[in-house]
Amino acid sequence: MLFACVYVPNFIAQAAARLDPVVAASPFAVVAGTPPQVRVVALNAKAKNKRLWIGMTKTEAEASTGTQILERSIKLEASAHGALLDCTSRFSPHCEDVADDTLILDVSELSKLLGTPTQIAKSIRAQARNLSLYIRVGIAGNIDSAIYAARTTKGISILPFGKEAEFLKDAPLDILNLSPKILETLTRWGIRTFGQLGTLPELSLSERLGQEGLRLQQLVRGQSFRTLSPTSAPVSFEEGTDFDYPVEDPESLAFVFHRLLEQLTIRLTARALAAGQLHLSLELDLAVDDVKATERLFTRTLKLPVPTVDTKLLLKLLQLDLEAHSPGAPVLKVALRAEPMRPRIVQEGIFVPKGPEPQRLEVTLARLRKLVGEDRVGSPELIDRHLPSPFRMVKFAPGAQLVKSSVASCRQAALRIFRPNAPARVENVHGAPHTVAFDGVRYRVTQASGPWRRSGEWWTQDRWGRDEWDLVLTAQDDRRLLVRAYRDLLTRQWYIDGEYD
Amino acid sequence: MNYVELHARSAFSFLEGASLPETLAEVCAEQAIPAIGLLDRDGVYGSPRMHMAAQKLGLRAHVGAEVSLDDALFGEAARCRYPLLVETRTGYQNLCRLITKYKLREDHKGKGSAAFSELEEHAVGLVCLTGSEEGPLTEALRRGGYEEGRRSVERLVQTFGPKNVYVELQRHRNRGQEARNKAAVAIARSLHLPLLATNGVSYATPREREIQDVLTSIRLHTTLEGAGTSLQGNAERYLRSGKEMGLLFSDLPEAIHNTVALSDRLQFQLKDLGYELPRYPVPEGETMMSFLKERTREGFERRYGQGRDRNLKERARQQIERELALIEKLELADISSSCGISFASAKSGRSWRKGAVQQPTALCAIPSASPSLIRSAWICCSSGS
Repeated sequence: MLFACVYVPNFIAQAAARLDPVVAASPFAVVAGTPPQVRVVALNAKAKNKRLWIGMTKTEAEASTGTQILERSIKLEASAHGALLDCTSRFSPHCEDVADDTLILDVSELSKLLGTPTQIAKSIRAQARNLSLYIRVGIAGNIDSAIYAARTTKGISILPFGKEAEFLKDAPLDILNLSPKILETLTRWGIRTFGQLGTLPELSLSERLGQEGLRLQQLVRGQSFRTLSPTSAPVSFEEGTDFDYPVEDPESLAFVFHRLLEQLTIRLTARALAAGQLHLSLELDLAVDDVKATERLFTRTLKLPVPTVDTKLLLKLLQLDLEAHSPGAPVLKVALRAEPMRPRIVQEGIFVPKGPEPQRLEVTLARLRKLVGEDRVGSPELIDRHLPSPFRMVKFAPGAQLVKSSVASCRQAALRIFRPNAPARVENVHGAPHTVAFDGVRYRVTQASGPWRRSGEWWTQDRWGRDEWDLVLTAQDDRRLLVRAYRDLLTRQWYIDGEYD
Repeated sequence: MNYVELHARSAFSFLEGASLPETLAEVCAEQAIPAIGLLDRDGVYGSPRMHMAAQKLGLRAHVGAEVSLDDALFGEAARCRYPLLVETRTGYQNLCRLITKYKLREDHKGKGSAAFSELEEHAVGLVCLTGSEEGPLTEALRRGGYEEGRRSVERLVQTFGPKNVYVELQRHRNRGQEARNKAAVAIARSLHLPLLATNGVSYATPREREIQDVLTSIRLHTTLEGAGTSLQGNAERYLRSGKEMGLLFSDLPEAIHNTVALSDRLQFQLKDLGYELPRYPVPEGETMMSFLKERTREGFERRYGQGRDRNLKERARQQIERELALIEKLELADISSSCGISFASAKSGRSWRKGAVQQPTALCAIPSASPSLIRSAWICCSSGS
């Protein structure tokens, strides 16, 4: 068996700066705690060079010029941990989630695919770099040795089988997670490395430290028989970031979206998945003047026509959607969550006419939605209800449904409906319309058919009823129109519903 | 204008009609409609109540039913409803037999249907209408247009005879229906068949449309919203007065006149049922009544003849005489004898007469079986006389 341990050094600092390259390039300190006990919990290397240390107070850290102070974010750490899981899942399904910063994976069978253990470790590191994570990789014949190898190395460490103890002899004892009492005892004895602990006589060690002492000695000698317990945590593809100050500029938001989407698509690709839906959450700053938004949280959901990992497409759709539905206030936080779906692989039929590319079509539809409104773009779909206009707009999906031929027993004329219906003045003779005036023109009714009575939804507030007439109208200049007029049975008002072709 | 509604459904069409027969009859009386034809779905359940209500209000209640029929003429699983009106007593018998036949066959309640051959077999004494939206003509027009419609009506004429087929027209202020009506009129003219205006009544008044919609939702196991266009598109299927129907069919006055003419033709009513009870075989030279009286007398002698209280005997005699007089008046001697004697036979474990009816349970179903008489007959029988 061959196990690889992936270890993220300085995990809290890496998670805090993972999605912000500007921050990552400068010295920063991550602080946590309840005021006034807010202390530094992580630092990057540049901050350490400026003589900052973990445990100093936030006020002390702020005194260091040029150092950014970041609040510790559990969300960002969860996101980084998720990214780490996605990274390792690309290599092996047998993966044990040991800690936020440590994962073990079984790489026994990977040599045929990726080559030597060193090449495997390099591939894992390269994948992690794509996800903005710097990792160390230790590979050994047992799990514990792999963990210690990863924790002691600066990059990659491969322990040959049977020589674990020899390679780990200089490793410090504090990576063993010893209890304070045992650590104190060993320090008093002058035992500080794996090698020193491994050479102690077993009987004497047992007499002084008991079974725990023997267990520790076995570990430092590379004699671990721990088995892998693969974990399958629920996968969540969510990335987000907090702004130091409210952002109003859409261009700045687009820059952030691009970064988040890139991370999401890399993570999805690592699991051979694609984004089926995209959920955007924006936390808004309502404290400023002239904000239109009333809710602190602004959410949007983009349903994609086909699952995709195309960052540019996702970004364009997101931008268009936000242009059509403005948040109405400066943004404090951004979170993007992708609903994972299997990528759709469809082979088009040889005789099927080529349709528009779904991604480009979606962008076009998004542009149209922005121009004319959300509910005015799509395909009309008949509703099986008694309504004045029994249809609704559904998402345009060419070829999704077969068009059924009409089963009407008589020829039907097409009616061009006036939206909104044109109010009319109608004079009746013997209960039938005689003259009709609408749009400033007066017409004589030369033929009338009706009334056709329709009503429905009587159990709701939207109950309606109308008497419809099909009328042939003749204007004074002999212009003829074939229209559908109706009298609203609730308001008694006359309207022209539309004109027949 | 005189008008008779000859196509109405009551609540006995189980979730397809909103009004009780009595309500329909009352509204008929209010609208001065002299008669009504009740055509409930696959049954004549509502007819007795309609008959009683109509009698009280001085109306005539025509009997009929909408008979479900799977018709091979229309290809796969085309189910129509044939509105049939009873003209004669034979027609009533035929209608009942036809419905009983397919009801006995049905797997699920309300799902049975007749075959066209059965309709042909039981066509005598019935008048067939071409029906409304669920009728054979509409189905044929929907499937094959005018030609198919004409063929379906021709087949009805072959089955029922030209005088017993009426091309039905309904006007519920609906465009699609009017288009079908035009085709129906053309077919009627080409085949020289009479037109008949009906309103396909499902409820007595327009307000009851809402009840009908709720019943439809219940029938379809859904909500009002979920029922969609299965609900009524308007509230026009109510009992219209002759004046309203006259205005509605002002272009086809004969369709209105024909309703009255057909109503006059339909002589059968439930009072003409002519129900005959099973005959009980009696010895030669005896009538059923004399035979029953003799058996009763024998039983009486056994029960009250010796050592009984005189007063009790006199009261029993008077009771028996009263009951015998009633049986004679109602001509129920046959069934009283059958029940009484078979009941007595069952009690004694032997038959009064070989071949006599041996179903003591039948007694329960015969309200006219007099307790005193049965008691007397049983005594007579059990004593071995």
